[in-house]
Amino acid sequence: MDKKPAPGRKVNIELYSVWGGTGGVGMVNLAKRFEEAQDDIGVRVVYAPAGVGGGSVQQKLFVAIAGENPPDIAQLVPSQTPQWADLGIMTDLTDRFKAAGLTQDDFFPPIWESISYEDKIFQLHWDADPNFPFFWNKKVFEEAGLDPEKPPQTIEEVDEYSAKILKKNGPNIARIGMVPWDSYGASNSMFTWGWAFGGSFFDKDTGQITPDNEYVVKALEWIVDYAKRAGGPDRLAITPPGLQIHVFGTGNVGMAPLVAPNYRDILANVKDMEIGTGQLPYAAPGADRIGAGAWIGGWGMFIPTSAKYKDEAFEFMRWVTASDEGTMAQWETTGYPPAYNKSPVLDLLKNDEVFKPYYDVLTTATNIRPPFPVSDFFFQKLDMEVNAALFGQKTPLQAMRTVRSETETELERFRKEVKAV
Amino acid sequence: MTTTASNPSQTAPATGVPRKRSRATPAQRRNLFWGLVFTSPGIIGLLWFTAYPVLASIYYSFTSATMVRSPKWIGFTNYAALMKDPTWWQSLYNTFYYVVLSVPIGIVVALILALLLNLNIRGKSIYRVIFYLPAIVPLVASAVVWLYVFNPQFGVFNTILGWFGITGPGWLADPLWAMPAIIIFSTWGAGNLMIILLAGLQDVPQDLHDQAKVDGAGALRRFRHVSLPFLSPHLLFALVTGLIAGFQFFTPIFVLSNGTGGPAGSTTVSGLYLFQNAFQFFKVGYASAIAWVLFIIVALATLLVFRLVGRRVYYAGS
Repeated sequence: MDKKPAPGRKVNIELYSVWGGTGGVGMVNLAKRFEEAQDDIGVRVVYAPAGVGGGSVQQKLFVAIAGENPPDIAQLVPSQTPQWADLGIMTDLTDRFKAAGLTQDDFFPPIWESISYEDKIFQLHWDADPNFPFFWNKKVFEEAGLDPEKPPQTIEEVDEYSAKILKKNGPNIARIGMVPWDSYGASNSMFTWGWAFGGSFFDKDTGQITPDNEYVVKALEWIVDYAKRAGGPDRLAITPPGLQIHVFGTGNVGMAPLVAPNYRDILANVKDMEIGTGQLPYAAPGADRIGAGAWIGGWGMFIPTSAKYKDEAFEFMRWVTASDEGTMAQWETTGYPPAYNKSPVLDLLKNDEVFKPYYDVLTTATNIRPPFPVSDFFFQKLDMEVNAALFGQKTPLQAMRTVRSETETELERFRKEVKAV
Repeated sequence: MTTTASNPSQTAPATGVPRKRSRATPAQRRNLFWGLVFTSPGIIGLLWFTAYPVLASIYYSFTSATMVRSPKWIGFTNYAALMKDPTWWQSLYNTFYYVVLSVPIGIVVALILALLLNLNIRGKSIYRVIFYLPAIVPLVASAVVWLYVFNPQFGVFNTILGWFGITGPGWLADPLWAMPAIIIFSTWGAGNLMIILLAGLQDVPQDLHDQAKVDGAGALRRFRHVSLPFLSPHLLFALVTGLIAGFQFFTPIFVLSNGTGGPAGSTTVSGLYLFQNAFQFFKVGYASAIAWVLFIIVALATLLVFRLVGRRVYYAGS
């Protein structure tokens, strides 16, 4: 997962990689590809793992920044940009971005939402994670007496199909239509289905968060009712211990949104599973089209304020995130779709049987997790309160109002105590 | 170390004139110097890595410290905010819930094991090893194993309950059962305390037991009136260290809940909430305030234990 820079370079930059395993190896290979592409800059890769809340805690990076010995390039979850920029730990890349000839038109629209903050550029999207296409298990559909070629288009149809797919083993759920409260954690579930209902979490014009928006609350009401109808979230017994692939791969789940690596794993390990692919169902009247719940995630790259070799670091970032050769190298080494909309990788995706659904999401999704200061706090509150509603401790409306009031208090504190410094 | 200093009381004239303080001899000074030289790594380490952070955290608790930029003095704002923070109160409730149940249960389990292992049975050394083993397994590894044990469908507990026709709970997936599950898990490490209590039991004079037997005392009465008084210092130690460790409980919950304190905040204990504030929300000042409030609570709890229980402790030979 670590790599020394190539010998004999004029400048060696240091890159912190959050990934272990195959992702970490991919990052090392990507750095080698960059070294092969030019002769001046060497890249040292250091494994600096991220954990908790989808990787929001990067202790090694924070300590390095606090000790004024940061890497030249580090990664972050793009929605963290406002907070990290306000904390003063990110280099303003606006001038370098313009000098490189890059513009808003080079990126997918939702990506631009998170790349720019207060009309400045602080990070570049290293990848674009299309969350999510919609998948269904054709065999489960057949067993339940459903047409395996006819996926649900609306939330009503999801409910209808789920009633037929549901199988109980005593009080436990042995097979379920979908697990809408766990589409990659409670907060991601809330975003996905909230948007699928036509909800909105953030008003960009007023800077206010709106988790208690009418359609977000409706989405949570649906999630809670769904879980109750199935027998309760604590009665879900569809995951064997030690399962190494996504639970959809067990055949105990009829429908699921999936990220690309999970889909690839299932295809590789459960070869006889017939999987249908499409777009997320939606709920009228809030939403008006299938796939309305899709959003773009991924990781960003930034240059810490006290980094030594900013120009060389930007050279690497620009190559990886917004060049034909670099995005192709990134795809071939780490396997993430690019955020750069002119990348030749997109042609590959479009014509690839496995990744076609992801291409569709990438080119049509309009949502992104709200980038605003204290977003991590917001996501954690969502996690907590969605679960509180799910287990009947609060009504969905109470839960979302709690999220709003506590996040607003935190946002006010941040603006008063931190941003003002 | 030897010393050549004579006792001044033997040589001072009885004139009523105040004695001069005896000055250290060159040998004593040399010994002191080299003593300090050899212990300096430890002393410097203690000052730099323990005393300084402790003192710094007091200061940070009155600032808006974020770890990555200069802190701003905000007085008691963090402490005031803490009093109005519902998540803090929930975390405190969870912490007390854990401490109040896990500490006595842990002591009782360790005591029962110690009593059993104190019996004269064949292969008792093997049993001692078996019961002590979990205590030396790293906490993270134990927690990962227990994730399997608590699995609602395939876990050991629910499988056994199923044999008796009982539908087991969702354990870590259910806010009502997540904390009881963690309390059950915490008894897994009773081996350390078991060893201490076993040592205490073996210190009880056998002739006292014999006399009690002659007087017609049964096993229970001998335990109550002979063994227990001798064990009381060990039990006080167990109670105090258990309280301190319980209030700082963190690692297993971090692993079992994937750092979230879920479901629905049911396992968010104060230590975990402190961590989240410091490393997830960049609120180092706020986290420091949590640490100091927690310190005060632990200190008060310890003081209370000494006041209530300390007087009832029997120290043999004192």
